[in-house]
This record gives sequence, structure tokens and C-alpha cells, in this order.
Amino acid sequence: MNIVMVQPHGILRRVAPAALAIVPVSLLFGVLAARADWSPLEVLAIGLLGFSGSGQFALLPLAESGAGFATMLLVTASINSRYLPIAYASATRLPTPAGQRVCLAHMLGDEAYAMERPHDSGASLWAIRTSLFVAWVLAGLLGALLGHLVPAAWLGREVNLGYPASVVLMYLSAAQLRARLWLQVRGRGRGRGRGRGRVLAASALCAGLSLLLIHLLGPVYFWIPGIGLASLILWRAGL
Amino acid sequence: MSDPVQTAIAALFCTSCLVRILPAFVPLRIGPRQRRYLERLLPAAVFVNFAVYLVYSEALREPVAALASLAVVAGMACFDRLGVLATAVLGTAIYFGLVRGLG
Repeated sequence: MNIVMVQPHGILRRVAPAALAIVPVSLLFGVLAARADWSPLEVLAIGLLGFSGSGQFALLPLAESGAGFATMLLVTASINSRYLPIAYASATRLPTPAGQRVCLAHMLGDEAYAMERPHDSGASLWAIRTSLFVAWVLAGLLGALLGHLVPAAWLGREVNLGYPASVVLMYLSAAQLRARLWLQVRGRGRGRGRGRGRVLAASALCAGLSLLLIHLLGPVYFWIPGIGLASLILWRAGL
Repeated sequence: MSDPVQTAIAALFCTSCLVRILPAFVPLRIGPRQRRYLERLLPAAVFVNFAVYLVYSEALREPVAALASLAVVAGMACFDRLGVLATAVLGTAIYFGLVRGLG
């Protein structure tokens, strides 16, 4: 097998654009978490131990609403389930020592996976994944510190400080649905139209049932049946 | 650290162990059907529920402002018009503008 040796400048050139792109998102998470009363230490801890953009944003409202561990785990595991095949696919590139394997596997992200090449050496993987991981964690911490700098007195008591987090989460949700359902419809002409019609109908049915479940079970307990029903509907719709 | 935040951190760490660390040690073969379910359908099911949850919880506070703002944000994301940061600024501005204007 050809192993590409590490060339620091080359790796840096490869990583820099992605690292710069994730900084504002992590910064935003830190600011929003601080406004939701998370301490900088908590933001640092979730960045280090969780390292997941959509997962971290998703947990902000869930923590605020008092959701339990099982609900949070189900939601974040489902959102991040895309890592399973990616992690399997990239496992062969990881070094053999268990400690290094654990660290590198934990630092796997979409950007790192997109950037790595099949013949990258272990040292290249370290450089790529660590750069992105450190950029993410430090930007989150900086955001939390900035968020705490804004005095509470500057903001009215009734200002909905959590709203920007809802906006980001709505954007991520819609973008993910577009990528995973809408853009996956194959074919041309009528076939494509029928496929997209099926996506819209199934999504609307899922949304309607979720709304009904929130109404019946409340916003804390609807998650597990809601996700179960929606995945069943999407599966049965052949999407 | 507060309890809900500790729970959130623990849940996300367990998630990382399940979806990133475990596959590095346990060799498993995923068939195309399971792969399709894990990569596309399960996350899509979560995001549908998220979108509904967000609309529901925000509309309880400010129905008109939240519905208008979230509709614009979802539209921007669906049509891939602006990035996440610009859309977040736009959506937040619409919301607080309407809250102020209607209030």
C-alpha cells in the first residue's frame, strides 16, 4: 500500500478552509449556549466529549426543556447515525494502538472524512482530525466567553434569547431533509415528479403525526414514538 | 455543572462512543438496506420531528413572528440560498422585528 507521508504545509493547506468554515458555527454555538446559562466549562466539555455540530445545537433546547438521558441519546444518536458507515469505512486507516484509535475515531467529523484520502498515513490523520477538532472546541469556548460578556441587564427580561438557536436548528433540519430526501429522488420527468410528490406527502404525514404526538404526549415524551413513526413512514414510502 | 447540561454532555459522549469509536473496534458488515436506513431515513425522521418541535415550541410564545421567521429560514435552507450564519441573522431579525412591530 502506498502511504503518503505528512507534509505539514500540505496538510495545513488542505485543512485550513474547512477549519475556518467550522469556526463561526462553533462560535455561534458557544454564544447561544452561554445565553442559555451554560458555563464556559460546560461548553468546553461538550465540545471535547461530544464534538458534533448538529448534535450540540439539538441538545440546547432539549436541555432547557428537561428532556431525559434516553431522549437525548436517541435524538443525538439518530442525528449522528450517519457516522456509523463513515466510521466503518475509515477504520482501516486508523493506527493499531487502542488509545490512538479511540482518540482518532472520536475526532472523526464530516469535514475530516471529506478531506482524508485512502492512502493518508496515521500522522496525516492526526494532523487533519486534530486541527479540525481543536478549531471546533476553541471556537466554542471563545463563543461562550463572548456570550457571557453581554450583560444580562442589556437585554429585556422577556427577550427570547433561545430563538437564534431555534433558527439555526430549523436551518439544519431543513437542509438535512433536502439532502437526505429531496435530492435523493432519481429519474427524470414524470418519474421524478412522482418521487418528489412521495417525499412531500410522506414528510407532511410525518410532520402531522409528530404534531399530534406532541399534543397528546407533550414536548418531552413525543420524541421516541415520533421518530419511530416517522422512520416507519419514510421506510414504507420507499424513500 | 447543572444536571440537564451534564445529562446532555453524557448523552453526546455516549453517542460518539456508539457511532464513531465502537465501529473502529467492532468489524461489522452493513448491508445496503441498513445503510440506507442509518444514513438517510433515521436522521430524516429525527429532523422532521425537530422541525415540528421547533415550530410548536416557538409558536406558543409568538405565533405570527415565529411562523413567519421559521418559514423563511426553512425556505432559505430548502432552496440553498444563504449559508447558515446569514440565514440565522435574517431569521432572527424577522422574528424580533415582528415581535416589536406587532407588540
